Formats: sequence, structure tokens, C-alpha cells
Amino acid sequence: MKKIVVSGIGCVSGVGIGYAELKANLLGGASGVRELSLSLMEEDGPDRRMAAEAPELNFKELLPGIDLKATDRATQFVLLAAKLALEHAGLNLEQLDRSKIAVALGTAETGYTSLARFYRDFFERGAWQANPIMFANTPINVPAARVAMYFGLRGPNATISNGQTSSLKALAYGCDLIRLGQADIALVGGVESLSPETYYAYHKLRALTGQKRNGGWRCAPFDAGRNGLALGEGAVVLALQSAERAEATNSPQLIEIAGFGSGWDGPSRVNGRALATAIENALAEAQARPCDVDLALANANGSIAGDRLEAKALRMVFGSHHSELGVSAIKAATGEMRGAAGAMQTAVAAIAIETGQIPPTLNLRAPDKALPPCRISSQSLPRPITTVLINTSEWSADSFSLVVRRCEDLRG
Amino acid sequence: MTDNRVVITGLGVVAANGVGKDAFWRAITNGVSAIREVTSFDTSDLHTHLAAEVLDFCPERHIHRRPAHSMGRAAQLAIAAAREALADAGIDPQRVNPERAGIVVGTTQGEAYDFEQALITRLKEGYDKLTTAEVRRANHGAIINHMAAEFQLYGPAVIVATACSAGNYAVGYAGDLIRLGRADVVVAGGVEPFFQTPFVGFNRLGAVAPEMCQPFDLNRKGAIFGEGSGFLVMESLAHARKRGAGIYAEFRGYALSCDAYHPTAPDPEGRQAALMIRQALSRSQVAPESVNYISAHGTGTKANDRVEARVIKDVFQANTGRIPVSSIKSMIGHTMGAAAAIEAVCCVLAIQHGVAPPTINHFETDPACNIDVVANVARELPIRVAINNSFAFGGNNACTVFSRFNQP
Repeated sequence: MKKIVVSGIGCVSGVGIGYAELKANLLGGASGVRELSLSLMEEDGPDRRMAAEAPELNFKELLPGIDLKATDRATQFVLLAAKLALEHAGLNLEQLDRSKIAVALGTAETGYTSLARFYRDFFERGAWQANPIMFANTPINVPAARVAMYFGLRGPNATISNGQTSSLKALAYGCDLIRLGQADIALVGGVESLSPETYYAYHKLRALTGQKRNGGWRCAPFDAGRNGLALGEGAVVLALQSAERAEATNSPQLIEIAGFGSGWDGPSRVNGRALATAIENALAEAQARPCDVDLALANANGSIAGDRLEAKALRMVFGSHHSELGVSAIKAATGEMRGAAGAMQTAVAAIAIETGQIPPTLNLRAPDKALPPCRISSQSLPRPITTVLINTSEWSADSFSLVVRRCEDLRG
Repeated sequence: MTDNRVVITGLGVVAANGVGKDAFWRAITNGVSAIREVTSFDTSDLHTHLAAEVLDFCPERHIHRRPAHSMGRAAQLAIAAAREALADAGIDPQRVNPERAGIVVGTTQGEAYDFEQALITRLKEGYDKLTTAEVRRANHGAIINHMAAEFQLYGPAVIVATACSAGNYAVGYAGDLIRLGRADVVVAGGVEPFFQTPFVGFNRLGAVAPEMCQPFDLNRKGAIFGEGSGFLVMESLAHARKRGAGIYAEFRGYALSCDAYHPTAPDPEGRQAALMIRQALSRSQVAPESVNYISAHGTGTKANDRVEARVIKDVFQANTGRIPVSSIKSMIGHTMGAAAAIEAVCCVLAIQHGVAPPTINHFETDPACNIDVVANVARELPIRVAINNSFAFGGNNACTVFSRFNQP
């Protein structure tokens, strides 16, 4: 199978814009989770409003020619992330056949923000007062289509909407397009934007930190005293191409996409089995053994039940034979980015491999006992890192994992 | 080459003019329209009032393992059509390797019908009255979760949300998963519930016809929207052979492209769309001369039909007049993310029965659309190769190619 590498990474998030800033902030222990700006919220919802909101950005300046009225926040995030990824990869679109550049983005809830605003408009003021531009932003594929339009990319244009697993599945989709010759380069990743509706939905599900165990606001993945998640938003775009093409064009080769695996809990519904299966399948496709994994970038977001299942899955695969396994859950820093989370974890995998640091799991005091013996800390830990496992799981059933590797190893 | 071949072994449909593939095919070939006054919400302040709603759908009849009300309408419609397709193919979860049996679903808006219902609760009764069940039903990601649990199939599963070409994206990707060796069998298709937001939105964009949907007709006035789902069981020829499955047709290949032109309008010259159909044919190893049915995207809007006819003429040149073209949207409305999947089912049935379905309400062909529209009455003819066009919002184009199955 053709080897696929990541040549460039761009991101917009509460914890940094662009690869370099993300790297500095994340390894430095910064968190994007803070009091939400009121402009996002409405009067009748919950009163504590914390999330990793993307900073105010001057998109007009950052994205020349953008139509700010016609584009929603999610689209603005992803256009900037795509631009940063192209720059990071040193890809000059003027010199490329843009009918051979594909886009594949994951998102869980994009489209709902505009749908809610449009519906509210015609509900309150009548159909003829509602803004049809808002309606044009309701289909889930709008951000991906806008990337194609803004950059003139005429290759396949896909959007995967699969909850938490969305952006890793979009990555897999992009790799397949390249392997099957449908594209030379694929811009893949994920995007999510906060809105009152999504915030209230997680509040209604009592999934947010502070809603259970009276612990107050503290998003603490894998901590024994964790009490829920914090939401996040933003976009992450990775520029993928075959290693062969990267070699020939002298493009950066940040990491190799080595193997994907999917897993379900199945009829037996053994706790953690879904994710363990996904991890095993990803390792098999990457031709790696559990002991080859230096770092697992977890799906864990502070959810009481979800983190426990992931800890069990890690124990099932890595057992007690691999006490040197590094584990990091970055969602206390980035917030739960849902459909963009897997792409964010992949970006962080590149950071970990480049710097030889296990990124901090913020707010960790006492790790959950269900975790296997491993190296996990609230601060960055130095450690040479070659192979990284990335986990995603939608309500602990539909799970999807990825194994990535340092590129130099391939060249021998 | 036998290694790489992908065949269709099962079909399932939920459409406004027929629940179940047999009822649907009877209605389609008899030109039965299901377009009527909208029942699910009040349309009185809009200029148009018609849609193709699935009115006689009883989810409990199709969903066995989980309560139907625990899932959104998209999951319900998808399970119904996929169940029929799997039964039609004789797939028994006990007798296939469940980890090699995948699910690929195309959709435009996923569970947005249920999201809209939750919004209504919130706006009418307040945030406190919103229930967790309502919130859970609005999660797109749950669609395949419910499907996997229902059918006990645990292979690769993906929801592709590429607007109105999503059904074709799903069928194409299912073929890739089989050809790449990730799955032996995939149930692939598309689903879309009908709801108020797109009805109001398309009315505001002036895209909805007031009386009827008339693809390629000179006096066409727009699209009419509908709902439904369509699924196909696709499998490797080797797998189908091994279990002695009946084979409807062969999935030959597909191609995708993006106009990169406008969020809601097609490129008037259809350059990417034409290029894509040529690619789909060459990837399928099918010569343009051997195509003898085109299932058109044919929404009935001025812009789409004009561009689509132009693209067809561009690709098929002098042969254009010899290839019958139909848009079943004239009968079941534009079912968005389900459309290309239901039309793929239709292509397979057309090949099986040797019948090109009609395009109803077609009285006078638009001179700008001078292609061979199967006007009003179905046409019997041997169909060896059928292609299925879809051109979506966002300039997302996709084309799938099916052929009669010939023994190697």
C-alpha cells in the first residue's frame, strides 16, 4: 500500500492558531478553556458557560477576499486552517493541478448553528424575514465546499459526519483517495463551532464538567475525581500526500499515516471492547506491536464513564507489559472538539514526535486506577517518540483509531 | 480482474410512492407521483405547498432491537431500507464475518429533522422542557451506531455528508472499501427526512415549483422536495459466489469532482461535471457508446437541468440522442442525501427489468435540453450499462456506473 505522509498542519483553536503556536501553548501547559464570550450565548440556557472558544480573529485580513456575511464561523475557521496547512507544507497552489487536490473534512455538528439561527428567524418573524444566506450554510458539507471554492480545489470534496470519529474517518477517506489515484494531495481534517444549541445539548445530557459530583469546574481527563467535559471549537487541516510525491517535490514529511482501525462493542457489549478492537486493528494495519507504541493520545475528555472505558481499552491492549507507554489526554487544553478532535490529536502527535515530549494531561492529580501502568502527567514529559496511537470513540461504541509514525524511520 | 469486481446483491427503498423495492418499482414504472400537499407543518405563508412525504411509514415494523423512538427519523428510514436490502441479499449476520461487513450512509442533513423538533420544543416551551431523548435523536453520528446494533454488522462504517450527491459518494466509497480489501460486503445508501427548514429555505431561494416537478421541460419551475432512503448490498464477487448469492448487477466504478464555483449554483458550463463523467466511465472501463441509460440528477430547476443536458451532450456527443434519460424526482421529489442512492437502486432495477423509468410531467422538451428524455411513459429496452448522475450544493459532483452482470 502507498505510504501517506502529512506535509503540513494548520489549526485554529482555543489553545493556538497555527502549528508553532499550538506547539508552544500545548507543551507549555496552557488551556483554552475559559468563560465564554456572551455573544455566543442566549438568555434562557445554563448559567455557567465555559469552553475552549477560538479567539476573535480578523478574518478579513487573514483571508483576503472572504465574504464574511455569507460564511459562518465554522467555515472561517476551516479556511484559515487550510491556508495555514498549505503554507506549512510549502504548497503553492499556482503551481499545482488543482483538479487533483481533494478535500475531506469531519464534523459532528456544523450546520446546526446556521440551521438554528435560520429556524429561529422564521419562527419568530415569519418565513419572508429569514435570511436565505443563513439557509445556504445549513448543509453539513458547506465548510468543505467553501474550502474548494476559496482555493479553487476541484478534486473530490467529502464531508464525514460521524460524531467524535468524524475527522479520523475523514483522514482515512483522504488517504484512500490518494491510494486510489483520485487525488495527488488531500486537505483533510475537521471543524466544529460552538453555538448555544450545541452547548445546551451537552448541558442537557449532563456531560459538562461541574454538573456531577459537585466538583466545580475542572475538566480533568483520566483523573480519578473527574466530573465531565469542556467543549471546544476550531478547525484542524492536514495536507496529505504520498511519501513518494513528498520525496519528489522535496515537501516536508512530518509524520507517516501508518494504519487505521475501526471497532464496535458488538453484541457482547464488553466495556472498552469497541475501542480495544479499533486499536488492535489500527496496529495491525500499521504492522506495529503494542510495545512499539510510545504515546497514546487519548479520546478521554473528562467524562466519568467514557474515560473509564478508554482506560479499560488501553489495559486490554497494552496490559501490564508496557509501563513505558506514554498517555496524554489533550482535551483539558483544547476542549472537546467533537468532529475536529481526531485531527487535533493527529496534529499533536506530530508535535510530540518532533519535540520528544509527552504533552501534558492538564488538571491531573490522581490517575484513574483503571489505566494500565503508564507515563501520564499534568506536565510535559521528555521521551523519544516514534510511534503514536490516536483514539476516537463516539459514545464508546463506534470507535476509530489511527497509528502514526516518525518519517525518518522509513528512510532507514 | 475477477478479484476486483464488486456486485450488487440486495436492494431496499423507502420512497413516498412506495415502501419496499417492489412497491417502489411498480409505482416508478407506472409513473405514479407521490407529490402532494405538505402534511407535517403549516405552509400557508409560503408560495408553494407541495412535497413528497413518506406518509405510511411505521418505524416499529422495521426496527427490532432498540425502541424506534430512541433514534432520529434518519436512522429509522435508513434501517428500514437497509433491512430490506440485507434480507433481499440473504445476508445473515451469523453467517458473514461481521467485522468485514460495513455500513456507508450518505446524507445532506442527517438528523436535522430531529434537531428542528428539539428547537421547536425549546422555542415554544423553553429550554427546561427539552428532553435528553430529543437531544440524543439529533446526533448524526448515532445513525450508523443504531444501524450497526440493529444488523449486528461491525465492519468499517462511515456517514458521508456531501449534500445531494451523498448517496453516490456512499456507493462509491463502499466499492473502494471492498476493492481495498477492508470489507467483504457493505450495505451502502442514503437517507433524508423531510422537514421545515429546507422547505422554507428553498422557497426563499425561489427553487421550489408550485405545481409539479418537470425535469428538462421547457416550462419547468423548480424542484419539489421529498424524503426517503435507498440502500444497496454491495459485495466482492468472490464473497457473493462463495455464499451463492443472486446477483442483480455489477458496480463498475465512479468518479467525484467539485465545481469550486458557487455554494448553491452549478458552474453554467459544467466543466468539472463533464470531466467527472468521463473519468467515471474510464475508471469503469466502459466506453461512452455502451451507456444505454442515464439516471439524471434532473431536479427540475432551470439551472441544473440546462447544465446537466449540456454536460451529457458534451460527454456523449453524437450518441446523446440514443441514450434514454430520466429523472425520477418528477415522482418522488428531490430526496437530497437519499436521492442518488434511491436512483442507484433504480439503475440496478432498470438493468434487471430492461425498463427505463419515465420522467413524468414532461410535455415539451426545453430546446436547451435536447436529450432523449423518457417522457411520461416507461420504455422497455435492454439496458447493459446505466450511469447515475448527481450534482450537489457546494458543487459536489458524483457519478456511479452500473452494468449487467456478465459471468467471467
